[in-house]
Amino acid sequence: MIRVEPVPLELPRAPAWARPSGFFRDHSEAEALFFAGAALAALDSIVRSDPPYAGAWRRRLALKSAAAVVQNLLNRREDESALRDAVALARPGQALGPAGRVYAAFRVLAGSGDPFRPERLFAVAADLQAPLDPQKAAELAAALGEAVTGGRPAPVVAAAAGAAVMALRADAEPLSLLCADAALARALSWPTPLPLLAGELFQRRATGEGRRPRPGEAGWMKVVALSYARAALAALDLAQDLARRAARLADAAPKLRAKGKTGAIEALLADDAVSAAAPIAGLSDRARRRLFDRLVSLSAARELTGRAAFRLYGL
Amino acid sequence: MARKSNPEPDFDRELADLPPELRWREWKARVEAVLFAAAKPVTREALARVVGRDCVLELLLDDLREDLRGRPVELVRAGESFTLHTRSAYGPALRVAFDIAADAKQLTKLEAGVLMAVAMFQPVTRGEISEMFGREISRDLIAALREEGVIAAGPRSPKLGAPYAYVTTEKFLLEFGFESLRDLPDIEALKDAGLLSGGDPIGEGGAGDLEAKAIDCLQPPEASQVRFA
Repeated sequence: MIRVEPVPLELPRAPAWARPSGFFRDHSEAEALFFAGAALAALDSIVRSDPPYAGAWRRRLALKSAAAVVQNLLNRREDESALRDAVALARPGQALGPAGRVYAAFRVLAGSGDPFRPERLFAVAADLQAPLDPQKAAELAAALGEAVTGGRPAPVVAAAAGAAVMALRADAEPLSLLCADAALARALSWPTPLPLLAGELFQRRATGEGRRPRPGEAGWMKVVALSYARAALAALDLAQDLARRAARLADAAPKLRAKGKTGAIEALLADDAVSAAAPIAGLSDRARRRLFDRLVSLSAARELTGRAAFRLYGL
Repeated sequence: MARKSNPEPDFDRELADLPPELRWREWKARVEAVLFAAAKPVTREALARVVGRDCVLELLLDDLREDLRGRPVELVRAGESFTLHTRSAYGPALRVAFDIAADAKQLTKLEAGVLMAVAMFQPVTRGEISEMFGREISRDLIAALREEGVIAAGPRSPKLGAPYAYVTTEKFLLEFGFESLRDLPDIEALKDAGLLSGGDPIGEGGAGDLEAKAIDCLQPPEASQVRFA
């Protein structure tokens, strides 16, 4: 019998020299842009290959960015698990609370569709506590559309988009970070944006001592480039991790006997966290809970909260 | 710095050429006109600018208050400011005229405090609010706020009993003239002012302060008789 061993897909790794070694003040703007380019090139091939776990990957990156925005710009204390709870446990149409809405906005960013549509900018701005009136949203859409044309390098485009938002409304920094990510994706012609910038921007080592440059200020370009370099590397690491976990889930799939297992596996690959209470086609309430328990015991999935009730499962 | 130009160079404050009774009546009429035209309470200084230097504003305002006896409006003092309000007996007429629900009412101090706590710490459960205030916050109070439409049930909290966590609504922002939740006072700023202490959200004896602060913050944009139109 001839057995075909599936060739394990070797995920691209960023070369070791692409990792920025020093602090904000150690690098010049040109160096920062070089690091960003190297890391984004490695990331580009993963985004284009559209791996099966892409949904979970994007949502987890959205979670990281949203938590950073909530804690650093909106003065709230919610951490990643609180945001995950807010979105995963909410019923459709239920109010999410301010922090949950920020996470929802970043999930919208990481979803499909044109992020620069005025209606979408209008909705996202309200979620990020910087509401725009519809006319301003249309102006912003035009300004962002202008920022991404011209064929300049992606981090430069992203920095310009961030500055364009701040020029329109000075207290809209969360929105400006989100639009920078959308502009980066547009410049790299990715089908869907990845939330990257906010997750690394507030790290101490990204900015060093002193005041963090705000969008449009001196040093903004450099801090954006360094943040993208680090964020792209972190996203690569996360992709490696999720690829391993997704492979383990695929290994465990033949051992499951439940009828609706495909739906459960797809749900796990498509989102950061799946509530045991959320309906999945073909699985009854009890069957779903048993299936998830079985997946955890096969170490093909994780229980993310550590709670005895309101459990959330994910890769 | 250039001095602001006088808007009415010919304005006669003193009215020295009038007999005392007429002068007094004229001053009173001016004060009444200013109070009538103002959208917000008028400060003492502003009123003092339209009457003579030797006029005792207190007496004049008392006199005005007497004049308004039997009229549908009354003179109200708010701190160092003054304003004209309609008398509460005419509330029904106003509500009919402007189509305001009959059960519109003012917030009590505790309700304002709870609303403030929800606004700042949302999503937050009733149990957590009770802990902050160090006393039981009744279901009725929460229900009253929900009835007004300023708070709504958000996600259920992942705790024993799955209590609802409450969030504020758009109506809350409109009602109190906030554009977004970022217009609420900063938690950091409140801490610096000593209203909150480190560990728990509202420290020892802090609930009263929070209520007081809430009263300050939750003033509607213009002073109106009827809240929650």
